[in-house]
Amino acid sequence: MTDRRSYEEYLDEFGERLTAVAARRRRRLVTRPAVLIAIGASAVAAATIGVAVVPGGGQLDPVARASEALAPSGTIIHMKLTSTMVATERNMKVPDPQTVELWSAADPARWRYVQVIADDVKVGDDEGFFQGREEFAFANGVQEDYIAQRDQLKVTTGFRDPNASRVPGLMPIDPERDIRPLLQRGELRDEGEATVDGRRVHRLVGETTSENGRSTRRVVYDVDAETFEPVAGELELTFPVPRRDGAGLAGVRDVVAKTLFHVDVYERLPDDAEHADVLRIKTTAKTRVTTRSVDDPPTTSRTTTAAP
Amino acid sequence: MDALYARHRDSLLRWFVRRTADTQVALDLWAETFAQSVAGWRRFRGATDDEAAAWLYTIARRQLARYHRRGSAERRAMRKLGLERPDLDDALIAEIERHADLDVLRRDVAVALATLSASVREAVELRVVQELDYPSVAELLGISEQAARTRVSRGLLTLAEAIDLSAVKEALAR
Repeated sequence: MTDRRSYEEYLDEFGERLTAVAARRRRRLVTRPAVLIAIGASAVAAATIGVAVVPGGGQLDPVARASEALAPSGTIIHMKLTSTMVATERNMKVPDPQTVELWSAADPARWRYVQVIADDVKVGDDEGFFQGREEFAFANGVQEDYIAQRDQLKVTTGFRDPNASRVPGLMPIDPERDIRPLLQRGELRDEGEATVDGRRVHRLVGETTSENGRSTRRVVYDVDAETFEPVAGELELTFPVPRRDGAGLAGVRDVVAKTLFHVDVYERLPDDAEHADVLRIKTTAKTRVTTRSVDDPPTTSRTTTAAP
Repeated sequence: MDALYARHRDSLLRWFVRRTADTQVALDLWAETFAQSVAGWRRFRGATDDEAAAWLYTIARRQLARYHRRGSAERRAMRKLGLERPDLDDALIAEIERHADLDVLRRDVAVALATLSASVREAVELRVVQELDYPSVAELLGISEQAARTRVSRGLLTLAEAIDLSAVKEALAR
């Protein structure tokens, strides 16, 4: 068990070690006077992303309404999503469309996420590759990962912050996890109405440009024009990659990587005892359970038998 | 040295995390960069804040370039000074990654992976998206650990612009 340290405490601890070795070194360098290196505030820019946000004035309302539609607010939000990666280059091999299903509730935060790993996608862990259904769930500081092919449940306890538990799912972008924060931060603008699958939608768009201005990240999110419920969206990355010829590096060229998602099901369920099971992973007495704490060293785990 | 560390400890760590997409590697490079700055401060000839910052990031870019060439972080100055970075747990790794917005970066990697060759894509996906360690990646792919590191490093280099690794090419050009 490791003592829980915050990020700042960790940096402080390394700083103290660094100060100690620097002091030892200064003492040895007796022929030189100590030199104080003064550092100002003008550090080299960190890798932060600049976000292009166009003030919308009266157009902010669809953004706020779309954000509300993704907030559980005393209900369980249930969505089924299909993502499709687009082949934007000749000879680009993209995986088959992936479907995921998720349920999420708030106060306290709970969620469950189900994905089916297709034959052409490789997902693995330290026990090898697996395919088929995989489920994730989070509640009360505990995250569970169930691998149906192995009938194995991996339990990680001790999450103090619900956001610290991550879903390493197949969906490159989904409304609940990725778009809701963009809406809350005002990073999507309303681009007016469009039609998707015969449905009238509001199109919300946000672009991010890297600090050197050479690559962009564009998110499109379509919500129903009346209810502001999620309908579809896309994530598009445009970036230069090295171009090679027989002589080696021959400059760069722009490449586009694009993935689409479609919301097949969106509904709100009552957050009550009757629906509590949708947030839980079902196991059996034979399920192999591996439990570890987020405070354990990464290699430590123990295997037990599942409770029915 | 204390002032140098205090000013840049956070920004430099985020800089490395976003350029390696690997928190453990980033911490090794970050610690080695500060260790080298301690070991080499006598050679620093600058007088201004900007010059000191540029000097520190020159060391950092050199470390990053070596990592991308070799597939492993250098620890020469750390060993020379007898300096170790503190151990950390998963919760702290998650906190560091949140500081660096690494989750968004991983999503972008997942999308951009389609542009890579199959063998490199598998290695990057297992290491960066699924977060397996290098021995596990090597075992799953039936290759040596060094080959796994090389494939991941090459893949990240190809995706450099997509995942905000612009400093990689800059460093390799030196």
